Amino acid sequence: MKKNILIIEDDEFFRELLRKKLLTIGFSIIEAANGEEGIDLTKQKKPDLIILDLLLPNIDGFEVLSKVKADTNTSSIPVIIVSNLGQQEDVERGLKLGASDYMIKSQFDIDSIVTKIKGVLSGAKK
Amino acid sequence: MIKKPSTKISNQEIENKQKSFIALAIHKLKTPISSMKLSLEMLLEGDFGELADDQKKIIERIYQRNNALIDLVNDLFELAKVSKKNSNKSVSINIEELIQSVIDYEQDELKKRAIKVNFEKNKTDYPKLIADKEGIFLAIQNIVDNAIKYSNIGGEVVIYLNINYEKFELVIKDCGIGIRDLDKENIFSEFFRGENAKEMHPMGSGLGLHIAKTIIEGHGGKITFDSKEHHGTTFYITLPVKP
Repeated sequence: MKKNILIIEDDEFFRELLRKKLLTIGFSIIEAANGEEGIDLTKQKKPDLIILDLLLPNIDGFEVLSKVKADTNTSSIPVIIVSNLGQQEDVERGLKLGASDYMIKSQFDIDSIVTKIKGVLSGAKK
Repeated sequence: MIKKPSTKISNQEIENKQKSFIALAIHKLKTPISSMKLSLEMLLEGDFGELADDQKKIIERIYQRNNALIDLVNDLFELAKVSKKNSNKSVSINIEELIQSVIDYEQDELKKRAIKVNFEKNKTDYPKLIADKEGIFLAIQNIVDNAIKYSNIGGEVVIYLNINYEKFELVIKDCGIGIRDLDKENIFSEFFRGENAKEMHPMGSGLGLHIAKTIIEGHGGKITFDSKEHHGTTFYITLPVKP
């Protein structure tokens, strides 16, 4: 069965590109354009993995991550942060809140995110 | 006489406003260039169909220029940060671990250029450095990154750490293209790049050494160099253990 990935990202273009790439690889995709929608979809759909942006309108990604990890129904879902925030304190904060990995948008190449997703999924608790 | 209401804003408030403005401006710039990077990569990988050779060549050039723009935006952000005093960010740092983390950070570049790094120390136990950890990492990383980038394939970079009278001495030596005599006086200037450096790596912001110098001097340290064209460059950094 296809693994289901939730992309929480407000930049429509970036979201579309990720969707296209991940669909080609063979994942199924759900999308949220803001934090609230992301939290709702996480609860409803229980994705296998979440790709999370940090700078989102209203509820930011750190808050989304805290809520996902605080809810026992969703806490085991791995989250990979993909953000333009690249300061050491942001990375440390994200990992401390329970993110499985942290990627800086302007620094990764498309293959490395696919590798990370596969790696996290293969190590994720079933 | 009517007194105007006080409009005096504290320096802290001005600094905070500037910081949030810079952070917002950087984010606004990074959003489109990150999407461009991703879309160009996918175009080159054939995710939107195969490209003809001449189309591919053009996209590759746009991709390289976009990456240069990303580096420039990142460097400008770092420069804006280090232009301010960061004394409140001082923490206790294990300098050996910090240098090792710079070497680890450069692993991809080292592999790509088949370059070996030798990290030599004169002691096994150094005192802790009290400084802005992120800033010192960036300063050392900028110098080490240059040493790797401007070395010939298969070359060697030596990093030597010493402590002398409450000062750390760090030597970063490469056997690369070196700095031409006529460029030496400008090498730390903002946006300056030597002609031989441009020839080897056409894209580059010319801010790395300027940022490194600003950070090191901001910590009461010094940075100097010796260099000979075609024979390599050695940078000497001194940093007081405590500010």
